[in-house]
Amino acid sequence: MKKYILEINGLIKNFNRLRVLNDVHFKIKHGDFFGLIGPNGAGKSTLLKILYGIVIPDSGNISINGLDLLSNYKKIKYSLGIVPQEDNLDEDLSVNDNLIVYSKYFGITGGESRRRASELLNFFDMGEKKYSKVSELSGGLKRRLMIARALINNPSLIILDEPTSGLDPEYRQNIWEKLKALNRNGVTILMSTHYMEEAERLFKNIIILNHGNIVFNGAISEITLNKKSLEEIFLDIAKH
Amino acid sequence: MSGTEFNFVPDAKWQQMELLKKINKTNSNLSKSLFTVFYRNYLVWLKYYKPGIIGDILEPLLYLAALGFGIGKFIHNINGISYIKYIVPGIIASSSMYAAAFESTFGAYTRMVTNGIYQAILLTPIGIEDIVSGEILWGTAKAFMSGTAVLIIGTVFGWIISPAAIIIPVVIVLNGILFSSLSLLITSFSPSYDFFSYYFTIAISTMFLFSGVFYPVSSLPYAIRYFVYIMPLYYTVSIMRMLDEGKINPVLLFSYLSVIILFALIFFYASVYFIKKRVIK
Repeated sequence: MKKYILEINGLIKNFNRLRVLNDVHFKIKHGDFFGLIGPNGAGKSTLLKILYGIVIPDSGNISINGLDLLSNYKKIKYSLGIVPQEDNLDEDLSVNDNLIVYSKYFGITGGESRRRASELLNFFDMGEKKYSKVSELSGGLKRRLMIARALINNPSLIILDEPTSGLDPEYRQNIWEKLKALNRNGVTILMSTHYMEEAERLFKNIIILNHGNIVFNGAISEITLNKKSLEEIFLDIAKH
Repeated sequence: MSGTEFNFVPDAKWQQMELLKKINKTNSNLSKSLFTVFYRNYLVWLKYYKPGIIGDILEPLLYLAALGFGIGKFIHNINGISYIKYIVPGIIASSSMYAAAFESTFGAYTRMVTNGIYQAILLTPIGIEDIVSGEILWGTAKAFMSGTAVLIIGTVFGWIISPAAIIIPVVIVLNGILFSSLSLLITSFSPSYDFFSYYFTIAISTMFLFSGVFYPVSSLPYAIRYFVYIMPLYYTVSIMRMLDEGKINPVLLFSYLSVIILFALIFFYASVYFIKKRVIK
C-alpha cells in the first residue's frame, strides 16, 4: 500500500478568467484526519468538487490510492465516500431506501445492502427513523444520513464539504464524535470547514487556502505553536 | 449496536488485484449500472403510480373512444378500414410518445435540477452515460406501458386487423427510446419547467396532429408533407400501421426502421454530451 492515499500536484482551475485554484500541491497520509480551511471564496469547495468529479481541473495531477483520478474516476469512486455541501438526499425515498438504493450504485445488493444500511443507521442513532420520509428529518438528521450514505461502500477516504455548516452545537458535537470514531477505525478523512473550533478539535493536519493559493500546509499543532489561536491566524489571512 | 461502538473497517483490500479486477468487470457492465438508475425511478414510481396510470393509459383510451366513435360516425372508412381501426396504430404510437416525453422532460428535470439526484448519483461509480441510459430505459418502460395498454384494448375489442401486429411492441420500444432520448436532449437545455411548453406545443403536439395519426399524410398539401417527413413520429406511425394492416413493404419497413434508429442514436449521444456539459463544470 502506498504511503499517501491522496496526492495533488500543480492543480489549477479557472472559471472564465478568474483563477480559483493556483498551483495547489499537497499529500494526505493513510489514516489522517485532514482539514481544509479558508475564508469564503478561497477555493475549498472547488478543490473538493474536483476530487469527486463534478468539476474538471484545467491542469495538474491528482492520484487517489495510487490511481490517476481523471483516467480512473469510476474505479476510484469505489474507494471514496463523499458528503457534498448541498443536501442531495432522495426526498422521494425513505431513510432506509436512500441507503439501499445508494448501495446498488456501488454494486452492493441483497442482504449485504440491508445489513450495511441497518448498521449505519444504528451507528448514527437513526434506527427508529428507518422508514421515515427524508422530508420529515431535521437538518441535523439529514446531515447524519448524508454521512451514513457516504459510508455505505466502506470507503478508505471520506471527503466532507462543511458537513456541520448551519447545525446547532448539539448536532455538531454528535457528528464530531462519529467522525472521530471513524478515523480511529482507520478511515482517512478530508474535510473542509470554516469553524475554527471544529478544526482545532478534529484535524491532525491542515492546509489553509486563500484566493486559491495554499498559505499553510502542515500539522495543526505547528500553526498554533506561536501562541495565536487558529481563529486569529484565520482572521489575519482573511484580511489579505 | 449503537453509538461509537460501530466496527467500521475501510476496505483495506481495495488496492489488491482481485478487487481491481472485480471493479474493472463492473465498470465494463453498462447494463448493470443503467438498471440501478432504472431501479431508483421504479421504486419512486411505485409510491405514486396511481395518478401516473391515469395519464399514461386512460388518456389515450379516451382519445381512441372519443375520436373513434365520435368522428368515426361521420367517416365510414379510410382505405377500406373503419375509422376507429384506422386510428389505433396512431394512438399507440402517439400515446407512447407522450408517455416517454413527459417522463424524460418533467420527471428528468426534477431529478436533475430540483432534487439533485444526478449530482448524488455522480458521487458513486455511476457515470453520465449510465444515468442517461437508465433514464432512457425508464422513459421507454413508461412508453411501453402506455402503448401496449392501447394495443391490448384494441385487440380485445377487435380493432386490430392483422396478426403481424404482434410485432408492434418492438416498435413501441423503439419509439420509447427515440422520444426519451429527444426529450432528455431538450431537458439538458431547459432553464425551467415552463420551457417545456415550447417543446410540447411546437414539437410534440405538431407531430401528434400531422404525423398521420388521424388521417393519411397523403391528404396534406405537398408543402406541409415535406415537414412531416422530418417528424420522427411519422415513421413509427407508418410502421405500426403497416404491421396492423398486414401490408408490409420490406423496403419501406427497413428504411423507416433505419430512420428511427438513426434519430435515436443522434438524440442519445447529444443528450449524453449536453447533460454532461450541464452537470459537470
